[in-house]
Amino acid sequence: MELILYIILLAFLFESMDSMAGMGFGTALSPLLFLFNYTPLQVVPAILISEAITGFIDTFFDHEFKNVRYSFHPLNDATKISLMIAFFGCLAIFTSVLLGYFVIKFPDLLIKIYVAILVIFMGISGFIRIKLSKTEQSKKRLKMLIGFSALAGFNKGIGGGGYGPVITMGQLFSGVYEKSATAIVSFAESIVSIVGIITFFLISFAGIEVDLVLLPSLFTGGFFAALIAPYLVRVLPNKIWKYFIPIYAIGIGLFSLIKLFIF
Amino acid sequence: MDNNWEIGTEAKELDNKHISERIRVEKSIFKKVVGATLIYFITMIIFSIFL
Repeated sequence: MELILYIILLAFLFESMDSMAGMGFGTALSPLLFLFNYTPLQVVPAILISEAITGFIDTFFDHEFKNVRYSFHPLNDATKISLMIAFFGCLAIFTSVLLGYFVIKFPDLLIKIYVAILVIFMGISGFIRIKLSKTEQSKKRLKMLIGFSALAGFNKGIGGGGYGPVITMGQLFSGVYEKSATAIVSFAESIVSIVGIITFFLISFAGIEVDLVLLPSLFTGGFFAALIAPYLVRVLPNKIWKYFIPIYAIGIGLFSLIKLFIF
Repeated sequence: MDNNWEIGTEAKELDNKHISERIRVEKSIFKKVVGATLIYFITMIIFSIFL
C-alpha cells in the first residue's frame, strides 16, 4: 500500500472545498489526476470509494455541529430531500451505464459545454438572488428543488457531470439555508457513490480491471477534510458561504470550459 | 403545510450568536472525533490487507 503526499494534499484541499461549497471533488480533482497520467479506471473507483466513506463522516459531523439536523424517525425535511437528491443521482448512474451498454453516444463536447455554461449561469444567478432577495430566503420551493434534482441527474446521466454545483445552487434557489445545503449534498453524494461503487464492481466482474492504487491517499486527504470542514462551516458566518458558493460554482464552470479546450 | 423549510433552523440560531459561541463545542464531540479517527485507522488496515 502506497501513500502519495501530493495526492493526499490535493484530496484534502478538494474534499474541504466540496464539503464547504457542495461541489468540486469530482469535477475539479478528476481532471487534475488525469493530468498526472492516472487512468479513469484508477481515478473514478478510488474517488467513489473515498467519497462514500468520507461523505458519511462529513454527514455525521455536519449533524453534530448543527449545520443540518437529520431525523429518520420521523423523516424530517433535510433527510427527505437528501434521499430525493440521492435518488436522482442513482438514476443518473443507471442511465449512464445503460447508455454505455447500448452504445448511445451524445455529442460529448456539446454536452460538457452546456453543463459548464449552466453552472456558470447558476453561479451568476446566485449573486443576483443575493441582491434581490433580502427576505423570504427560507420559503419552501419543493417543486423547484425536484426540478433541479432531476436536471442534475439528467446532466450526470448523459455524461455532462456538474451534479454537485447544480444540486447545491438548486437548493439555494429553492430556499434552503446555505450551510445546510452543502451538508445535504455531502449526504446525497455519499449514497450515490455507493451505487457508483457497486456499478464498478459489476464492471470488474465483467473482466475490466479496476486499480485502487490512489485509494489510500485519496481517503487519507478526504477523511481529515471531512472532520475539519463541517467545523469551519459551523464557525464561519453564513454570509461568507452565501458569496463563496456562487463564486466557487462560477470557478468550477469556468474550469470545466477551459479544461475542454486546453486538455 | 408550513411554507418555510425546517432545514437549517438550528444553524440560523447559531449564526445569530457570537462567534465565540460557535467556536465552542460540546465535550462529547471530542469522543466522536476520536471514534472517527479509529475508523480511519481500521479502514487503512483493511486497505493494507486488500490492496
